[in-house]
Amino acid sequence: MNPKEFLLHECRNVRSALREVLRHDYSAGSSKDFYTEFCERLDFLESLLKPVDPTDIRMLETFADEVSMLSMFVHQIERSHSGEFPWPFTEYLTELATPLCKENLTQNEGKPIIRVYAEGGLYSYKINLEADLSVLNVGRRIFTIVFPRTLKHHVLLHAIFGHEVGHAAWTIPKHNSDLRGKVLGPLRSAGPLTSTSQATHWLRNAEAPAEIEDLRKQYEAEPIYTVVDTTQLSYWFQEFMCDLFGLVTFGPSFIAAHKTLLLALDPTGHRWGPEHPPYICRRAMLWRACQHLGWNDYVKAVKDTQLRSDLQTFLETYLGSNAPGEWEDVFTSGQIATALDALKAILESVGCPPYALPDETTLLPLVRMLSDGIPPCGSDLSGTVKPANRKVDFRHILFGGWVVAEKPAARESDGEEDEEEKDQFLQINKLCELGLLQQRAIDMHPAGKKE
Amino acid sequence: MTLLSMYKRDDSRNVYRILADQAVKYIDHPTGGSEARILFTNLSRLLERYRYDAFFSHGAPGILEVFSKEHRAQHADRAEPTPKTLDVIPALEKAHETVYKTLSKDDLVQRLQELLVTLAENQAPGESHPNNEIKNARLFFVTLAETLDERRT
Repeated sequence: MNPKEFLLHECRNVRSALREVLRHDYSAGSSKDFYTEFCERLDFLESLLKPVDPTDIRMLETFADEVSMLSMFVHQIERSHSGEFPWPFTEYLTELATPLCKENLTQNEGKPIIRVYAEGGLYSYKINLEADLSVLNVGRRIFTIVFPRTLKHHVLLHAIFGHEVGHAAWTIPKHNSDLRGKVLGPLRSAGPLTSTSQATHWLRNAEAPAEIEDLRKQYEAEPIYTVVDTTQLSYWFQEFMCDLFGLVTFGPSFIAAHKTLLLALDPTGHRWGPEHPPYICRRAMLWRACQHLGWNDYVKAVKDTQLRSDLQTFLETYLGSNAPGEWEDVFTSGQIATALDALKAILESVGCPPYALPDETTLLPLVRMLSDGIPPCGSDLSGTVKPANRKVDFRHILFGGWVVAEKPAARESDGEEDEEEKDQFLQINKLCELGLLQQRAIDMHPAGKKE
Repeated sequence: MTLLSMYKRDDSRNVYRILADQAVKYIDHPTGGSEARILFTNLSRLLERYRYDAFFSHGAPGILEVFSKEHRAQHADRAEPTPKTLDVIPALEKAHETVYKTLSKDDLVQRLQELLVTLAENQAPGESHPNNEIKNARLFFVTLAETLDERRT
């Protein structure tokens, strides 16, 4: 069998695997779209491959990559059992991300295809983007959302996907251009990160926290810990931009998930790398962003004393009450305000509404439901014959969950439950997941709507 | 690194040469169908990157992935975007300069994308696009393919 014959053979294998995979229940949603897109890609690939001269090595190399990529995709779908990830959250996330991931190449363009699978390891949170320039064969782009398998029920932590949505938007050329100019432009216009030389000077500054100096000494043989180069700076700014994306799309839940997960993997909060700036700088930027968004004023205006106190606890836990330290405070309030307002305008222009904090009459019932062990959602629990269920933004449910998770009562247990029941954070997450499920049903079948 | 992954390479130069060649064939003999749709969507996507100067070779890692030891090791080994990726940009610029000297990037992309949509829908482009426009589009893709072919090593 020569290389060309083998590649054609592998195309048939991929097609056969595709049929096998989609016979089973591999997650709700876009199976048909995925199947159609995939068959079309295979048809296209075979039509290009069949006339190729078997001695044209370069063409065969290209086609080998393409067939391999299709095979990898089918395998990923094979692994996406719907029991392994929180599909009510996924549906909301898909709704949020879809307008941003549309390419608008043609007037009657289909939506991007969004698939999901679970992966092992805390590091798994990701949206795979099909952003590679050297791909021959993409009709509708497939975005694959990857959840960590062990955090299946932890919907509060899944707010971290707000950051990943930013990376997805970055791959759409029009958004990329807007984000570079209107969001990154202001962030890069002033401060210690405006150039690689300034950034390097900042990193080596004697005023830097002791932890930074310790890390520099520990890794002095590795250039990325002593010099900031162009690629590194570019990645860092993309991370800053995506953090703002997370904040604007998911609100307070993002701040909480961001701190919880990033500090879990870097408890010092000071570590940096070729693709990410120190957490303390990211937190400083988010602190200023929340000031601009008026979160403190929002909390002060809450009338219910208990809720106001809970919200204050939440903000102090995840943002801190003091202004950031001088070294890590790399952007001014003005820079952040300009960037944030531009980002909100970009989101609005594509039909992806930025998160707006809930009014008290929405948040308080959600928090009370959670405190009573009831899944938080817009269900009317008054017992009337015709319940007046309400539409509630799924992100308010996550916010309510985080507020309750920080209440001291949520951390206590009487010692009689089993290990899972004692884990109050898990229980709150599960309640919120159920809340999302019920809310999804309310959204799909609002009162009075006939089938 | 697995035995096969060591062969993975940036192939954008070859990919867009193939697509540009195919575009010329479809302009000469429009057939529509899903194959044409995929072909012209890919080319539209390339033009969109050209319009907004949005060329990047790979996606960013996940927000937490950067903390994994495995990822850090992979990053250390990872090559920077290769000249092959960057070859696509001057090839597009040459095709632009050769065929549509006076048109801005925006106008060029819009004009070509409209034609590609017509071709993908299997409409005879002659009905909605003047002959010289079709000839120019054809020349654009011929120049693109030839320039990318010259840069093959």
